[in-house]
Amino acid sequence: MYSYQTPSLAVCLSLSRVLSVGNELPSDIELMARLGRGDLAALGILAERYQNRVMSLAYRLLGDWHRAEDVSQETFLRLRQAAGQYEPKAKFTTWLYRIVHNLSLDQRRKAANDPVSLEALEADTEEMPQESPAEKRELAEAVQNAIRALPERQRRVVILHRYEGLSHEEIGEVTGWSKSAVESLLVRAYENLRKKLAFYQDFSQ
Amino acid sequence: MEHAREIELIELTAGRLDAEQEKAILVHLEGCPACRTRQQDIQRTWDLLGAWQVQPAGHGDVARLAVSSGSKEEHPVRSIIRFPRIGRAVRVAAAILVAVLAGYEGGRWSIRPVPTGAEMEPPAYVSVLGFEIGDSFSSLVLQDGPSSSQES
Repeated sequence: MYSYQTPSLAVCLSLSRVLSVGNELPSDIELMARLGRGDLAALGILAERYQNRVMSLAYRLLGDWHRAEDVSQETFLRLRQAAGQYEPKAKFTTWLYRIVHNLSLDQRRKAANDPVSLEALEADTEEMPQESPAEKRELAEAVQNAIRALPERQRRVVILHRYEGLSHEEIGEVTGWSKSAVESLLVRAYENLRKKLAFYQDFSQ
Repeated sequence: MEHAREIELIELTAGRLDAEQEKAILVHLEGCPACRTRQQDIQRTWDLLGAWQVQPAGHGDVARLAVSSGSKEEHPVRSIIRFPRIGRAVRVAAAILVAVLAGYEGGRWSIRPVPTGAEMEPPAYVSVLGFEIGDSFSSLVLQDGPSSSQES
């Protein structure tokens, strides 16, 4: 259907870089409007702009890079499919995070039905660079394990709050929970983490 | 004196209170050792959580893949995968079709064609009687089967 299928890969990405240098950066809403009109260079800019944040969130929610990649690709695919009907009611990033959150949830449900896959998912810890001191690596692992050990809803809110910097209202929009529910979950999550990481409290001083 | 709420202390630690709220809480903390201790606990936990850094850069070029998948119409196989029940129904239908075709072809070769009059070997008694076998006559001729001739 599209006549620009083959050259789009490299061309769109390089074009997006060229367009974003020297000019004022287009806003997310402008890019979505352009994407809605079939401009794939806009998708390239959005993907470059948000791919690290999308991947990080998916990884933190799933604990597995392969699944995080799948979720990230699917997220941008959904972005393209929804661009025609996109209405900027909420902040773009909140909307984007909602897609990542829901897709990650689907992935976890699928993994839950497959015990082997869930086991692998739980066992995958982020590899720290080898030059990291052993203590730092141990601490990073302890933090990951403490977050993974939280109840599901607490885990999700603390990831969105601590690592993605979302406000309570935004977390509510992403998860579909009320603001008061989010606040209650956050209080319990940080309290649980404080207890779980009590052994390491001296590290932060 | 009313103590600060836990969620307010968390937001103070996260640096997400507006200027007015932040000032009010800080004033309260100066005069309330209990809340100060709670805030310090939250601060330590917050700092510890910062140890979990992820590095998405080395894990696949999602931007490139996103554009490449966006440049193609959705692949039909992909849409079947998305609807596993439809995919299963298509597979079952294909298996039935193959079975029917195989049965049909097998059946064609298993049925021996009935010889027509011209192809028939006339029995000896026909020529003794001075008849000739044509298509119209062949259906009336009694054939000696191989088993009956062996018996005789």
